Amino acid sequence: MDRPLIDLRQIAEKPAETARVEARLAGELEETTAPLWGAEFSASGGGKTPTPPPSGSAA
Amino acid sequence: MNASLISAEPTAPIYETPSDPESRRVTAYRVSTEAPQIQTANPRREWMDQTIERFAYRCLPLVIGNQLGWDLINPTAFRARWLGGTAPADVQVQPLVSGQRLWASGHFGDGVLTFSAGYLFRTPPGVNLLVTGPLNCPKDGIYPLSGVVETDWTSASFTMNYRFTRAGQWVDFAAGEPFCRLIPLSLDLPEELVPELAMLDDDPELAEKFRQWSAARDAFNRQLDNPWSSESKVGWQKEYFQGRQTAGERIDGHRTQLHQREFGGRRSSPPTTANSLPRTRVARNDAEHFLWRETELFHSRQHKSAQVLVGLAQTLRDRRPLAGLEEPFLSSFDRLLEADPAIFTQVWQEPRAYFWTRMAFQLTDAKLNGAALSPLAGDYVRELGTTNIAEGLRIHLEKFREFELAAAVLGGNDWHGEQPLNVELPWAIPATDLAVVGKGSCEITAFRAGRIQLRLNGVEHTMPLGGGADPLVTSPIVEHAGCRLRLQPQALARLGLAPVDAVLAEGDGYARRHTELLRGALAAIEHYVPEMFEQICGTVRIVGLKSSDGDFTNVSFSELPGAMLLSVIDHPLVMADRVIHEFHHNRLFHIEDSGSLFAADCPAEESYYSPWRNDRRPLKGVLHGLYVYIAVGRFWLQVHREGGLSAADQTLVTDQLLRIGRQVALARDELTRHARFTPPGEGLFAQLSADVDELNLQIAAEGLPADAPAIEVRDDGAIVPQRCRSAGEPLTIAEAIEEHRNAFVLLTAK
Repeated sequence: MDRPLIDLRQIAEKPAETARVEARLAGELEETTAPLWGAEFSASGGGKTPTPPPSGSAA
Repeated sequence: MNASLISAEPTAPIYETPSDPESRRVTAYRVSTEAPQIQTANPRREWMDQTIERFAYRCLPLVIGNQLGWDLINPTAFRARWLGGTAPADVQVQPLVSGQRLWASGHFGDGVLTFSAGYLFRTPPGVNLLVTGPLNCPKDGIYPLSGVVETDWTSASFTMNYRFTRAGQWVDFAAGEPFCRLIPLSLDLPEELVPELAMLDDDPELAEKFRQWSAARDAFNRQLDNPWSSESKVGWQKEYFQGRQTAGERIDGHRTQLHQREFGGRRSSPPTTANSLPRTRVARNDAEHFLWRETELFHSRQHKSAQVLVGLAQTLRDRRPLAGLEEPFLSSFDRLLEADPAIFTQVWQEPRAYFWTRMAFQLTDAKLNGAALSPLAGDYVRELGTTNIAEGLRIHLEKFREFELAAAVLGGNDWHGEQPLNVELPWAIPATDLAVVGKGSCEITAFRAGRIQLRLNGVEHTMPLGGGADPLVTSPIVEHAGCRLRLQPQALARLGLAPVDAVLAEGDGYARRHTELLRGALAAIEHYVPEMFEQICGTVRIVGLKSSDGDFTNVSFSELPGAMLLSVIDHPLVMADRVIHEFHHNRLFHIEDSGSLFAADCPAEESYYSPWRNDRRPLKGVLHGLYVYIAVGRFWLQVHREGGLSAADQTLVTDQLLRIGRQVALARDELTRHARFTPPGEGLFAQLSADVDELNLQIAAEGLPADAPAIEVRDDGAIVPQRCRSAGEPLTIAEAIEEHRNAFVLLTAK
């Protein structure tokens, strides 16, 4: 599975690539109206479980 | 001209339809192999459906306006936003399904969103096209622009344009949503009509008809307040709708619907259901691909974090929230800008790089705008040894230099900082196999001629890469068929993630003892589900192993794409199950990063049933469970189909298939009852629901015994019966599922 390269210089040279980030940090946009990323979440098991399902308990 | 106009004769029809069919032909020439679907305009509107008793449909002019002409249909879901500037780049357009072609862009600038029409239209002489948005279809935040195109002669295609009405608001365009209305008209008509002003009584016959209508309307309206009147029961007068004058005279040529031809020749028939307007959802085939096979989303998330890095650097340079203390970061960033993109991409695949970006953004947002930190960001700042946002940001920015060092090591270039790089041990050089073990603080002073120079407890060390001696060690690596996993929990240390501590406590020795087990798990994945293996190879970088010791916790973090923590069970198939499981949590994080799946009004509390957990869960957790166990179920299905299993493994596989089949159905039911999804989320959930049915059909086709015993796998891989918690009797799988469900009912009743 090949991935395209990330060219940092190219991103820096195109204002449109970062306009949203800068607008968010300038307080011009709310995260709720312009979310940058998904909500924080840890998909984890709940610690010691006396009868663990064999497929793990991470859901 | 064939479409003749008879001017200044208001009592006669002003437009005569040519009798020759060729002279009535409207042709849509595709200008490329792909073009949006074109169809007769739909009379239905969702907002009209929602009026009381669908009252709005009694307004016939509205209904006719809705269906007048043809619509171009948006092929792919996307959202667009205007940043407020005049440049084309100030209009941002994002697909809602990653990787799909976009039909709109900010081509003209000035807050205008431009769609490609995809066709060149040719109309009969004298007939032009009014190009506008779908009529009576308001859209918050954006307004369709209208134009008339002389399509009877021009050889140019046109675009459909919208203007944003305010900056900053995302506007969604669903797949299947009309985006452009085409209405044939003649520009001669308004020019040749003869307008005049007159008093109503100048036309006594018309004045009388008006007065009859007006009196009848007043009388009708007065009776509407009387709940027992016939007018109140009927609710509206139907003369206009039925094409009658108040006195009862019927009008020839009155229309209650239009019968326009579809492009292709067929006459349209009016839709028969109230919900025939396309709803915003991801087409099923697209959803299936996006959920399980789309790999572009891995790259796009990484690319986005690079965008955030650059935007962050720009903001820090402009705003200087740390009054100059951000300078070491900015210098380091500028040097990394010059790195070979191949090297930078390698560095940026490190799970910690994404984590660093999210934390840097949050801390900067908190410092500049007073934004609240997320729970994880709060834990992380405390891990940095401060509660002060500015100090936390300073320390965090300093850590960026680790990525610059990593790029130097990977590229074989010398590196030395103006100041030593301070790290807390244990620590790993990002995107490398190298870790520095021990405790306390360590200063990395340089990387020269292939050797790391560091100062630990006052002692200088100059260590070759790959030397394998403390404190610079090479982490255990698991490799199989091109897949390479680093068993390197040091790369996840001191990020405020408590579950990492248990893995660090095991040490590298524990990981080394289990590399063969993990390699066996990878081999099983490659053998049974090669497509999953390919994706795992491309995305998973770091695995932390710990002993189960009764604690079966496996963990993935939304902020650490490509990392997972696993409890060891000494059974390759069970470990394969766990890798697939955690990888799909990772995959779903990527999907969730492209847009929320749950609607804003979806319940968020932790009070729902998960068939895999003994505690109450948020719906997001139930959705994660559903997603990952469909994938795990598919794995076990392949294992069972190939056969050749030992008796013990046959028992294990039977348990897993029957158990997972029931569990995913229960999870699907819980989400159906309680979750509210966004339009894209709705489409993906519909696909998952279909996947549950398909999985259970395939499991049923395996002919497994319905009363198969439920089993558990111990830490050492031994398979033992699962017993009833109260009576200690062995359970069947159905009974085990039922017992779990009942325990939840009791838990909720407390």
